[in-house]
Amino acid sequence: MGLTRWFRRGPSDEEMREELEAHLAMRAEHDGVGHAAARRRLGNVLQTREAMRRVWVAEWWDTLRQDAHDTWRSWRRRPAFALAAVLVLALGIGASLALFAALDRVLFRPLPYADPARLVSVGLLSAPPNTGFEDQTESVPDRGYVRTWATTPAPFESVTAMNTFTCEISEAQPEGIRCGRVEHNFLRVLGVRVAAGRDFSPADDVRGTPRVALISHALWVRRYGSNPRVVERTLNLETPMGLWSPVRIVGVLPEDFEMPLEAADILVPAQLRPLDPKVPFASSIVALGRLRQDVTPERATRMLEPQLKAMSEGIPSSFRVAWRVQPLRDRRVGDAALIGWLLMGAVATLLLIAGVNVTNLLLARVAERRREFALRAAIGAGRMQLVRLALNESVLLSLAAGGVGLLGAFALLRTFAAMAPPGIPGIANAAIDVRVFAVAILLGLLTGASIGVWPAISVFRVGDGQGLRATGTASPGARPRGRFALVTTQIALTVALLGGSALLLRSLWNVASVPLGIDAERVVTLTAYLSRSRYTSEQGAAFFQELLARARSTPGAVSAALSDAPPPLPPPGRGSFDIEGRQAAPGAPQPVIGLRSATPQHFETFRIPLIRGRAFQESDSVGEPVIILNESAERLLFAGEPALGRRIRPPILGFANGKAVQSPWRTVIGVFADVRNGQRVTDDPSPEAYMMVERDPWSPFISCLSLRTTARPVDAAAYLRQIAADLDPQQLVTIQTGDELLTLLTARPRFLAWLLTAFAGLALLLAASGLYSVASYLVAQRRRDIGVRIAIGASPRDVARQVVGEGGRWIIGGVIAGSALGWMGTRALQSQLYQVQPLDPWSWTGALLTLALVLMIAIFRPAYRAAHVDPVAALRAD
Amino acid sequence: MAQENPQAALELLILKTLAAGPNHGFGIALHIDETSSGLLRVEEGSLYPALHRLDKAGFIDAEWTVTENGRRARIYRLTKPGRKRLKEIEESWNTLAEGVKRVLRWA
Repeated sequence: MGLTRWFRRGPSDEEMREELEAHLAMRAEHDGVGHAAARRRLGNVLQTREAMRRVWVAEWWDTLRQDAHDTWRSWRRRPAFALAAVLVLALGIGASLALFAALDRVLFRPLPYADPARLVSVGLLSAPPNTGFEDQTESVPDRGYVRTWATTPAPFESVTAMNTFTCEISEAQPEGIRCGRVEHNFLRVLGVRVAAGRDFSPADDVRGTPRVALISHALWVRRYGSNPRVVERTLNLETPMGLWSPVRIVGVLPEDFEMPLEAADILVPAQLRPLDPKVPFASSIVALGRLRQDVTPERATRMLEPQLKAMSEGIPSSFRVAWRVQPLRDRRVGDAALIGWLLMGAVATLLLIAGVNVTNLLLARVAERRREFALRAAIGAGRMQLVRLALNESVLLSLAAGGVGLLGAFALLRTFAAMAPPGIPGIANAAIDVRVFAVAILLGLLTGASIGVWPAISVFRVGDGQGLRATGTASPGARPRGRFALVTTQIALTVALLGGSALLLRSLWNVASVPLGIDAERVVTLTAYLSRSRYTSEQGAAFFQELLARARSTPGAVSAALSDAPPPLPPPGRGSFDIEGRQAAPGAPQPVIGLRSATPQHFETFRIPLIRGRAFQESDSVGEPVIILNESAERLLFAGEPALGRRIRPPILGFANGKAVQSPWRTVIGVFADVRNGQRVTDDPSPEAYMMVERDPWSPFISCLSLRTTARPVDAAAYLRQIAADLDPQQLVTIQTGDELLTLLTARPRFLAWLLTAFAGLALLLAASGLYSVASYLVAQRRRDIGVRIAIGASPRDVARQVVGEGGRWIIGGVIAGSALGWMGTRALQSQLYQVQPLDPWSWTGALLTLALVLMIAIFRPAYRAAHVDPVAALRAD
Repeated sequence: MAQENPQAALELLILKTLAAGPNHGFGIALHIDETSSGLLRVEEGSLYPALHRLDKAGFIDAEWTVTENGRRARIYRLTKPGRKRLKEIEESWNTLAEGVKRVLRWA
């Protein structure tokens, strides 16, 4: 069968016509009849020519159709087989597709910018001394940026700066959104063009010029109904820097545009402050650069070294400061990539198990169809044809499964996206798109080819003509070794998945049972961001105090408090404290302590235990300024000496009219137990101080009300929503129950643990069904053999034991191989485990016990059937 | 491609005929007709597609020539793979025919 044959051109239409005409003429001449009679003898000339042409044009297509038809017919005869195979494969392919769709942006898809490999995030990492705090992401002081990077430094072709903040469109329908401040060249550095209107110009970026804005495509559709005349319209923007009005819209961003890091709906020119000696330090920004051709991030870091000093001006010299240049993609994806690969590995294992399962079914089917294949061979089908038929069947199975899986992936993707923890970029916009579609086809073909190889080989053997002679039950000694080996493989893979999921579940359990230092079960919180255009500071404070008063009178209210952030969220402020009567040596490290503001009942509401002293009282709002520490802060500041009664001074509280506001000395009146207050639950509690909302400068615009209640959390949430709506119907509020707050913190371990457990459960099910089907096959094949043994006196127990023993050998093989596999695989899990070792005996014992139990159930029925073979019937069967 | 019985039979007959020497479509039909004493009558409508299939499969070759009567005709000739193929299907056909014959005798 040469390849050239497939491409050889056949005779032309003209030749075919001539050939038939010659035939008709010869026939007429030979029979001595007219042309018409010869035509009648031939039948339909047109149809004949069509048949001839089809031979040349689309033979492969015909064959494919014919095979598909054959396969379809054989499926219709055995619908249970086809259904089982398609569903099993669809499970594996569907889960893979959904996960691929969810993680495409994290793992595979390049950033949606021009030449994205050269885009880097560049900035400083700083670590204050002796604190344990360390920047995880690089940032740049805006002053240093303006001063030293006015001309683009050498490793870069261009640089740009940005940051994002919460803002509000304060018009008829107020809407809270995210805004981005960007330099005018931002889009050009990324290589993005606006969809409508114009990009920012250098003139827009000069401080003092009227504010202009670019809006996202989503905002354009949502708020402006895709009106093409939106350009040149104006809007009012409420920002932390004050009310900007009017802001002129100059353009619309493309639909597929994504911000490099945090999302934003409106971009405004950064209008970075020109150098002003009176303002020491304003804010930090994110700097992005496009590297010159052939400069690696490492080389860029070295090239920037001389500028470190100039850039880090304003950062105390005791801080450790270093450059970091990292690919933008890495910063964007962060450690989500690790989770992505873990899940991909798990789902690939699941797909593998599903494939092995179907291979097993196919092998059983080939054995069943031996005689059919042999007959086909006898009447002229070549071996290759039989192999093709077998391969086609598996490919068609997988393609059908790919289709079903694609449908399933739609539903699964929603679930993944809903479950996904924060910090996995792009998962919210993940969709089943062309890429997923292509992967579906690819996976279908690949799976089909790989599950079909073995069955095809066994068909090839059937083709030798021996098949016709074989009877339905194979020779008694034959063992389906291959099929058992497949079951062993399945079991091994399942062990690895089960072990991994057991570890993650243990770890999740540990995370969930970390004592947080608070009792939030019966607490409901309400957070509000007040608009500065609708509230003055006094009105804001009054709003929250009124909210507090009304919350206290809701049914079931036990206690209520205000704070600028509820635990276990990190304290909003931090800084170093002075201690009265102690002169810090110049340049000596100063500990950094978190700073939170709260009303007196805060501690009661969250049930934070009092260690020494007392909580705030109403009377503290006048007179001597006071402060409360947690145990870590007390230890850090006073190193074992009693803190009560000592006076300390918090860091600079802010700027007013360009001058730093220095806090007065405050007396320590109480020490409370530590509360988990890191970014993650598993972070150790860090030192923290509390100041009193009533008398200290706190932001009256952003605040959180916490209510402890005996009412059901759902009801309490409804009460809070109601009182907020009564006070100000336009105000947007976020209400979270304590459980929700805590759930958010454990989102990532939960996501991982549940997904992996689901995969492992499915894998276990597949492995069990594989074992069941092979053991049943074995018993059916040996009916006669078993019958003889029972006839000559073997007890049913012996027979059952033999079946279980045979299966058991393969199970044990699988468990051993799987443990080795799991031992290697779970090392990758290490970073995701909390207080569990990868070789944790409990997890592995639990996993193996579950496995053993399920597999025993799977093999029970075949063993039972073997034990109850009726010897007479079995011997008479043939 | 001989998947179904009738096609396999036609293929066998064509190859066998061509084993005797090159011939055109009409000649093949006539030869089968005559040697089987009219027992087998070739469906002319399937003969030509079958010839082209065999041509495409490389079992036979085709060439335009002029016959003795001065008529242009497409002449088919058996190729080497064709001879091998003929041997194979002749054997399996004989086996099948023998089997069927025995069954008929005993039934």
